[in-house]
Amino acid sequence: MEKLFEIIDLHVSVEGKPVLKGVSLSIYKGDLIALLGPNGNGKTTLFMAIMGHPKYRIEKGDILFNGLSIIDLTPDERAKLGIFYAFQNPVEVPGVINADFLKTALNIKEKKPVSFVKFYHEMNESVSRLQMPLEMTKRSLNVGFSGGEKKKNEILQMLLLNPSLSLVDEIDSGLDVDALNLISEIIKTEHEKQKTFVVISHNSRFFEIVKPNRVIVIIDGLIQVDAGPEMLEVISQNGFASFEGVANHQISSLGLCGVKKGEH
Amino acid sequence: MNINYEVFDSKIIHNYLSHDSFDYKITSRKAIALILSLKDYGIKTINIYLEKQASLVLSVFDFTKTNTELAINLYLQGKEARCYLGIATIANKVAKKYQVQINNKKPQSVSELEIVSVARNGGNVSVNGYSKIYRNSHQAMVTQKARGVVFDDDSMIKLAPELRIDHNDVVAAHSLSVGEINPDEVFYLTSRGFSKSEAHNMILRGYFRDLVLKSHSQEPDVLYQEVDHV
Ligand SMILES: Nc1ncnc2c1ncn2[C@@H]1O[C@H](COP(=O)(O)OP(=O)(O)OP(=O)(O)O)[C@@H](O)[C@H]1O
Ligand SMILES: [Mg+2]
Repeated sequence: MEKLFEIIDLHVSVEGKPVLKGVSLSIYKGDLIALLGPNGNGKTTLFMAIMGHPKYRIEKGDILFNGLSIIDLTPDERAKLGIFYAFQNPVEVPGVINADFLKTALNIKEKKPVSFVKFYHEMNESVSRLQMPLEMTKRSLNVGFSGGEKKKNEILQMLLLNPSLSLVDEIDSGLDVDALNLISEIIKTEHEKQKTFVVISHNSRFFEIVKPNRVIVIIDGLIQVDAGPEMLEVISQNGFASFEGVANHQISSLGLCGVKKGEH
Repeated sequence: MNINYEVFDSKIIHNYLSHDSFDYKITSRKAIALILSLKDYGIKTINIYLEKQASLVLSVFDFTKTNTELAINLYLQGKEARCYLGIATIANKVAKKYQVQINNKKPQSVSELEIVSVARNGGNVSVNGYSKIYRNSHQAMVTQKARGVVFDDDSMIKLAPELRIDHNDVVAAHSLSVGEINPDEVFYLTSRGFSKSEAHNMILRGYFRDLVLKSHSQEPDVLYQEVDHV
């Protein structure tokens, strides 16, 4: 399979504190990777570093997209390559009207002003797919949105910008049962169109629908597991405790790891 | 305060602006959006007198790339007179100096002052906002809101709201905040493909949006474009 993305020995610190301590990972076109790990162990940090947040400093290592290093690119240059980050905590931007923001983002992506008719058509289509009230697009971006509404608005942006790699960070948190099913189905459908995903979640219901082909576990800033989907069951029964301090090869020798990894 | 205003385009009062001062008496409801341009530079003082039950929305948009020094004095000299004064300014490499005085002289008069300012590239904004409630102005209401965003270390914003109250059966409130542009907002937009300067423009447009809406301006898009160009 075609390698889309490669992370090489990545060390990242936040506010002077080392968080990622040598992450290496290859992502192949069409992957849907479940990224798991205990709270505060570096999952979001990995996404932030990929997207280029200035607070998340790359101390060492590299990130390649289609074989080219992106670590010296600005976040917008990375976005233009087709990388999208659905935030764990979407940012509120007062006074910026959601629809204006979406239209400007689309203009930037298309490198020319998109016609009003085309934009509204596309926006309405995605809004109804997400079962969002159209009214949400007329409000200030994320301001006063409920937790679930913010998450839907992230997916709305993802659908409009149509990225090739989506990093989806706990999209399920704050969603009610119906919304969770809806968004999981949307991710599944997009994945079937050969889109690549890395999804962070602590919710097994979500994974039952989106059906990841790989499971990665980050513990204390290191990838401790890179295995097939059957690992989800192991983790949901045993938790992460058994992996802590255990190196990759040891898990492999337990027969838990490496199912899909070698197949690419 | 948004019903049936007679809306004045700034051009209508443009004639006055070449003079040093501009005096105006208001007896009904008026909304004036004063969009400063280079030509306005002659103006130094605006005095507006509000009669009984008169109502004024005065919005000053100062996005010029020149120094500005302007005094605005509002006199609520009739019972139940109301006014809203909004000042929106961006100082890019220049100095903007405003001296505002709002005089609530009569009972049940209501005044609201709102200042939104941005300083960048060594720009400097200073606004002294002084609202006074006179004796015997029972049930008067005064609010002052001031916000500022400083882009860089060389720029400066000094907002000095001041309330003086000579009567105790009144409502008065003020809030003040000066800070930097929120880096998380910038990152959010850049992660969607906005360049840093496109993100700044979008955020600044949003920052002034409330004032533009309140101004009843007929040309909001022109105002937003001016924000982009400073
Ligand atoms: N902006 C920040 N400022 C300070 N510390 C941070 C910041 N972002 C992350 N950290 C710290 O880095 C560590 C990793 O955080 P991260 O957000 O990557 O965790 P996570 O694995 O996504 O956890 P969760 O499952 O709770 O979302 C934590 O100790 C966290 O407190
Ligand atoms: Mg997280």
